[in-house]
Amino acid sequence: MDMTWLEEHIFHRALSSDDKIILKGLIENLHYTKGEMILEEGQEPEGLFVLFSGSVLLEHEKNGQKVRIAKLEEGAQFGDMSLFEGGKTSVSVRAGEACVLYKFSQKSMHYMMEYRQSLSNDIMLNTIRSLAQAIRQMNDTQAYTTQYMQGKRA
Amino acid sequence: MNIDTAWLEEHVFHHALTGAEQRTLRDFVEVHHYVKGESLIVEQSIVNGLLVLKEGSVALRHEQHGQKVQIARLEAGVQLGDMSLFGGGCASATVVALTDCVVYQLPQSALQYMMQYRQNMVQDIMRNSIRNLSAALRHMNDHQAYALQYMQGVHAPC
Repeated sequence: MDMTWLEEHIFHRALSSDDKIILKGLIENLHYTKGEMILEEGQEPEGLFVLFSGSVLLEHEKNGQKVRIAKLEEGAQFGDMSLFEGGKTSVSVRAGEACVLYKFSQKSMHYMMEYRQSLSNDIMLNTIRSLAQAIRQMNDTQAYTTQYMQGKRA
Repeated sequence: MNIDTAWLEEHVFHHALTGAEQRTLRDFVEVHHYVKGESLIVEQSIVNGLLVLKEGSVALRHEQHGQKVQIARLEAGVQLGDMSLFGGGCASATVVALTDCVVYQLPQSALQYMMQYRQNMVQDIMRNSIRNLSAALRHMNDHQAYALQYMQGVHAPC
């Protein structure tokens, strides 16, 4: 487990040695091969996934078809929407290439919210940052596609 | 001006607040009124704190290639400004009142106080932000999938 990487990409601060010991016990290290399904749209939340290396593809089912809507790279997180919101997974996530993921299970997140609020607050802040970044990108895309459908763009 | 703490409990905190927490809100929350057509937030500006739409409806407009495009319509209960507040950066869209609106504003200075002395309340606000942003992103994912199918000639515009 690369704690320096987690400090840089998730917590955005130096962690205490105590925090690091706790995290080592809470995070699972997962490996996926290219094309392997990580999460299925509509399934129950599993936890928070952080992409340590590789890339994943997000697919959303619309009118019976799976449409690829995004590609996420190292440092991205997913699974957070259904985890914090309580709903089902809104997209399928497939490994775009061989990837390594760090997983915080639901149980781990509940533990941190109860006993390590500073760690769970950092994760929530990072979740908001990550969602905000996705929405900013989507604002551009949505404005473009709206203009396209109104016949204003080729 | 009096604020409706029961409404905030229901729409933002999702649980009953203690007397001390309710007092904190009464001390810090500002009530603002906007008339139809007025801008609550201007794209690329700095937002001072967190806005909660108590009454009315607003449109989100995003500038693309020199044109303002309406990308969403939001109703009472939504939070605004949380992306730039927690995520850093300027406002990503202009927010315009579609009807007369009442807005509860929690200034940044109040949030800094709460981060120090009312951590549970800040955690509730962050959770509500995640819920709000997640709902928006789910909706946008759906719209994007539809738009991509339309651009590939699979569907007619709705």
